[in-house]
Amino acid sequence: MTMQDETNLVEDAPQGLLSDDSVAIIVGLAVLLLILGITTFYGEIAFDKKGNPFMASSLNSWLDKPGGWEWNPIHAFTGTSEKPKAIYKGVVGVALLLGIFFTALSRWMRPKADYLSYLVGFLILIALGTAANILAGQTVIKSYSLSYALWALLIGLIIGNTIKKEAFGKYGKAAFRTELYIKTGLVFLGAEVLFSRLLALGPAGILIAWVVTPIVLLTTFWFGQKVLRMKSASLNMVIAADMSVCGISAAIATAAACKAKKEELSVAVGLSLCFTAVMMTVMPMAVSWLELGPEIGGAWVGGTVDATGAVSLAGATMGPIAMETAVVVKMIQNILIGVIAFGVAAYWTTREDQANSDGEKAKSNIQISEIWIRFPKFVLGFIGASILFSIIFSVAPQGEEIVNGVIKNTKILRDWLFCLAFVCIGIDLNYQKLASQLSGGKPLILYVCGQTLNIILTLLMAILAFKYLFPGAAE
Amino acid sequence: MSSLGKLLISPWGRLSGCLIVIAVIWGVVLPQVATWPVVQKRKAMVEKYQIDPGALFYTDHESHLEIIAENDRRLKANPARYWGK
Repeated sequence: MTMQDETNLVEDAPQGLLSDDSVAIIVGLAVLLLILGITTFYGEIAFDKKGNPFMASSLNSWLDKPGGWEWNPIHAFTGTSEKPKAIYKGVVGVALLLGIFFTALSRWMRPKADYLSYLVGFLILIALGTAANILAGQTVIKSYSLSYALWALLIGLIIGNTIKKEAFGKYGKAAFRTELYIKTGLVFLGAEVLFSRLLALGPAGILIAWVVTPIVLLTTFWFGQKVLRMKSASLNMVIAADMSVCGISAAIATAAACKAKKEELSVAVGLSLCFTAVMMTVMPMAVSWLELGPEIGGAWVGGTVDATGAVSLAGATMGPIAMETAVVVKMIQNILIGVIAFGVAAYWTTREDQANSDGEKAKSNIQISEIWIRFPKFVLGFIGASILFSIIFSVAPQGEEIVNGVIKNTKILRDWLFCLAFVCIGIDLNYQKLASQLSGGKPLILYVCGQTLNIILTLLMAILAFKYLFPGAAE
Repeated sequence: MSSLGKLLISPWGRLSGCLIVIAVIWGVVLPQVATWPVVQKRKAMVEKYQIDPGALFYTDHESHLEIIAENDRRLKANPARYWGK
């Protein structure tokens, strides 16, 4: 294995009976079905703070992550004196649930691994992930959309560049598995990709999210390959998806689908967070200056600011209608992740085949079995979860309440798994590898050019949709 | 080099240094910054609209169900709105 291979998201070549993709699908779907069963058969209708119904079960208090705090980090586990909440129970519940499933399958992934080593390594990771969530929960950090992904990466980088992975010995070797956690998290994410949400804003929303986004994605990828001549096509694709779709979640899904390197995902996430912090402040000012109004302004912000959380914050500064429009446009873009991940995985499978034979041109007679072998199977779990929960949502009695209740739990697990993955990525990286990705400034140029195109096209489409084609659609 | 110097540049010494910096920033600096009016104003807005500023996906927002439900209510009241009429 070369050094380059070692930094891939897919570096952990399966040595056991089950690949990481298979384990991700098994654990992801098993936990989803378990939570679906408990929610359906033992849940009761409850109402959230705004009076919206969902199916609540006892799982709600047993799956959680550290919350917000201002001056005392203990509040991240207990809540404040005004709003007490036993969050620590939820952290223990997550560690138990995921720990049991992954530990049970650990020897199927690596026959030489022992259960205890995996479990201890996993609990170490949970502790590091908890630390990342505590850093992300501080009021100032939280208010500026600096999500846990950044702090998980930072904690990993500090460890990876000081005591290194070797300090954790056999525990680290057994449990620090980026690919496994990303792919399992993506299967959980699939349950949140509900296709009925696509039409929430009518044709205006589809025009903005489904026409502009693919154009920007493909143009940015083309620009990176043909004009900037970026060496790494996967870095190019991850930045393009991150910038044009919905930030970190799109970067994670695309990176796994095109087998990007860890440092490439880290660069894309870093760029996205930096630009998000700027854009969430500047875009509302631009909306006000251009006198676009809440509908067009909200759609513009929703279609261009990367991070979902930052979209809501920027929208809220422009008023409730702008926030609603921004959130719905971003939601429609979020759901595009399913299509984009599948498309990128399919394209990359063929592309890899083309580049496989030492520079020879594409083989025209690629066997279907070859494509199947190369296709990242976790995408099937992701799409399968999406289809299953979209059907339950639309067809089953009380389907909406059930799916909302399930998602309340699975989104916590998804967040934890992505957090663990970013800790692992940081531990495996060193500053030189990270810096090498930024050499020549091409990723930055790509991001700036792609985002500029995104800003112009989204504005034009928002004006076309809300002013001329479907006026009043978001009122 | 003195034994203290060796300790400081050792892997565990550097890790300890990083942890101290983090503890000072998160334990002392940020709690002070959190009292600034601009941060308190933003915090109040986040609580009012039930926004998760670190959200990766729309489902992370507590308010997303409310927004979707409100959108549906408006469309049921006037289906032509869907087409912007």
